[in-house]
Amino acid sequence: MANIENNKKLNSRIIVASVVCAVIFISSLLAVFLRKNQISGQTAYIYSSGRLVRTIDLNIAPNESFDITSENGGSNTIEISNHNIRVTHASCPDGLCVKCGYARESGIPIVCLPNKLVIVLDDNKGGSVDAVTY
Amino acid sequence: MQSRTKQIAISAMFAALAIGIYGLESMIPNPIPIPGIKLGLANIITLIVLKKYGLKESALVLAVRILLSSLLFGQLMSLLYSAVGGALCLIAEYLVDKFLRGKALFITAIFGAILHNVGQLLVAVIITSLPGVLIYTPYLMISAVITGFVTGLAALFSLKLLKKL
Repeated sequence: MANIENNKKLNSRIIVASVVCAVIFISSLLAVFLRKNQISGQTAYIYSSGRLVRTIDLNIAPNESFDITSENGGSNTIEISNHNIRVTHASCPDGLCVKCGYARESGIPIVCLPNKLVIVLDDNKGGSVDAVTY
Repeated sequence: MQSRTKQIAISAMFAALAIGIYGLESMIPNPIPIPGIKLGLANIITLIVLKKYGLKESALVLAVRILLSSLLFGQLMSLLYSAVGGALCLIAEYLVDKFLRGKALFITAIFGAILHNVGQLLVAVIITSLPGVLIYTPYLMISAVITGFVTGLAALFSLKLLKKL
């Protein structure tokens, strides 16, 4: 009798743990896919070490290429072409920011952790959650 | 009733394995641009040692693996990320394993992976003072559940094989 009791308790624990995993997984999936449906942003905000250093209206910005130097001496080269923005060169070892390519939607910012650089697109019409964070 | 010397030798072997796995994994090109997405294969070793030899041995193996891997394969920054991520991962795995009384190891592994990524996110937020980094959380959670499941299975099968030795 005690064995069946223990089994039931154990099974309910396993179920609880599985449900927690499933909740985390599904809510993350939702967070990702609901975000992708947002309207593409038109304004780029460039942050270095948490401070806004440049705001660029991608609708009217001319094609240009400029460097942002971070407070620890690293640098990222940012390029604007055809109303799109991306990082073309970085001094950081992993180069994930360059691999990101063009910033496509309000969802994922381009981030260079070693150089503390963040580029965020924002929807001019407002309502983007990202705006609240900063 | 193994002697301490034998235990040290065994743990050292697992630590070396963990470092090797970590190094190998660091060489795999990663097509995903999100920082922190990785396979986390070294967690397999952490799980095996935790189940077979207990929390203390697993903590030792983990500490050795983190120290040496960061020296060999990473920068000073990665030491901090690995340390916090690994510590949270081990604590989570120990607690969940107790909670589940040793069953369903893949669930334990998933929680370990989730906590590992949580730890890395915390370090990222504190170091860069950019709470916006948290936007990666959903992607890291998805990756953690999947890779946790896979590493959990790997650890489960490894433990079954090791029992035969």
